[in-house]
Amino acid sequence: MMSAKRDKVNPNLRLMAAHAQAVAEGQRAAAESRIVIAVIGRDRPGIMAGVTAVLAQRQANILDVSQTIMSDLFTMVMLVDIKGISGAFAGLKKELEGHGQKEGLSIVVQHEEIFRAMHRV
Amino acid sequence: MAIGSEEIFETLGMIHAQKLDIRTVTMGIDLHDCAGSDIKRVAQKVHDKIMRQAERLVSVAEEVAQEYGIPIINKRVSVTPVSWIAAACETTDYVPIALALDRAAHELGIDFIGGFSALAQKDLSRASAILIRCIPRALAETSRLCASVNIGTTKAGINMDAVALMGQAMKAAADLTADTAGSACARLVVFCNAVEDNPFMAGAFCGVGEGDCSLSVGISGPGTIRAAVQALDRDLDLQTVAEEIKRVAFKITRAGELVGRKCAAKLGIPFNIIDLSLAPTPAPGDSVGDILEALGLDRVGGPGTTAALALLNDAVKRGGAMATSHAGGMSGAFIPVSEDATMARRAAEGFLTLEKLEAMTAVCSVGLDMIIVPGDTTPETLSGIIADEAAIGMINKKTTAVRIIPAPGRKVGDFVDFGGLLGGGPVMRVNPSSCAVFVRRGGRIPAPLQGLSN
Repeated sequence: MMSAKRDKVNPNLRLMAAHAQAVAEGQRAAAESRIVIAVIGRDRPGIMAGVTAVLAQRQANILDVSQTIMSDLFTMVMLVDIKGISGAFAGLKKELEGHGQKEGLSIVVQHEEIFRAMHRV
Repeated sequence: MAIGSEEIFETLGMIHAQKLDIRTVTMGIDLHDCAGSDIKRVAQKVHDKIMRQAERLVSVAEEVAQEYGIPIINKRVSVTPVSWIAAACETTDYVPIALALDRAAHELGIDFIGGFSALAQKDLSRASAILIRCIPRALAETSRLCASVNIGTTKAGINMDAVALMGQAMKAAADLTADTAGSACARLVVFCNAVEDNPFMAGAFCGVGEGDCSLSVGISGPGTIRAAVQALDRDLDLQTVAEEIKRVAFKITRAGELVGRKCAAKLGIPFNIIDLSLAPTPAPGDSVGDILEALGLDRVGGPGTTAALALLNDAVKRGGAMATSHAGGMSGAFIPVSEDATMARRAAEGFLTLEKLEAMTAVCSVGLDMIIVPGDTTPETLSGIIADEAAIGMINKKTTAVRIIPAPGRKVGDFVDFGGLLGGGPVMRVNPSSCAVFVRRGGRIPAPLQGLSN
């Protein structure tokens, strides 16, 4: 009875499962060239513009941005593809951290893989 | 699924607020091909091989730490036990090899090098006896070299002749470094059931079953587990608490494994094991003692401590074992005294005693660790403590170790500070009853029935 029911799984669900698996594999493969940039600081105009200017100069491609204000604190997380950047990762990281220091922001730059390893089974 | 901001900030909190780090990346290097009859030539070969193999260890570790934003605190090298490499040397002095190892460590910029070691669990070979006699001088004349001797196993029993020699070696090493409160003993471990792939010092060596060169990782993370336990309601039941510890241990282990794999890949060598031990540091909050107190003990060392530690140790292993297929080394909670600010404080207050610590080592890794005892403790009493600890390991089929420092000129209640990761702690009381006759009997405590497992 159970197995008969299982055979009748909606083919759309099966397609979706296959799609999800392909996406997951793609993300795992892409994670190596993607970095996460977290920016925290007192909210004021121009924070995002400043950070994105550094990225644009280096040809880094922003894939995703999530930004909120928590009790006057600006917090932003960016997912950035660095496959085609000019110069090395270390240089970009240093530049971003330097920008943060100049602007009074905490900017943390890490490869995406570390988050994937810690938070995904 | 894409990683959410909440998960990203959780990781950042673990690293920046709770001191999550990778305690060590340790490169294991096989030295068998350096053996020979001329000790000078052997020492030179040992030095050159280590320089060649580990040339990029520090720079690669720093690069990976930058990329993943997680600090790697120590870079270390472990080598084949020197008693094997030096056995063919026509000499009774192995110190030249100790100096060569230490010189390589300084030139590479690594923190420690381990493997001035011997395996003497059943009997003392000529080479093992020479090595043990050389330990005090080898440690006193170096600063990054670590020594270890295995004096028992569940299969072989306990070699009490070696135990007696180690009590004397410990005492002599302390006396030779009296100006730094016997600090040489912080780099000396006596094992029962030593493991061949341990990345942690002072007991790391590269076992005979290991490959030519590989990389192992020792994680840290008491701060993250303490924070997770503290965030729970104080009336939550222990299964739920254990579950939460397991979840955090999983994340810590995954971070360690990623870092280890990346380092190994960049160095072009195999990734060996990840050691799931929770290694505390003297930094505030990065303490195994704090976790035990967060579980609900007023002060670590009091009733309930052993049970709480057993829960912690098992939960860490469960989470870690799910996170990696390469668990190895010690893999359990460490309970050093001087390296853990809360443990040191409770010892100073009198809540944590040597006897309680011994009981605790029956349910966790690894043993009596970084315990400072009075300078007038006799070699026989030190041997008695070593034998007691080894008996726990032998009977329970687990690794136990003794790293105690008989601090010259110091009395119970004095405070000794070694600095850095070694921390500081009070001089602890040792039971004054003598075991000299027992220790001087020598011979071997026969292997227990537990060893007949085939």
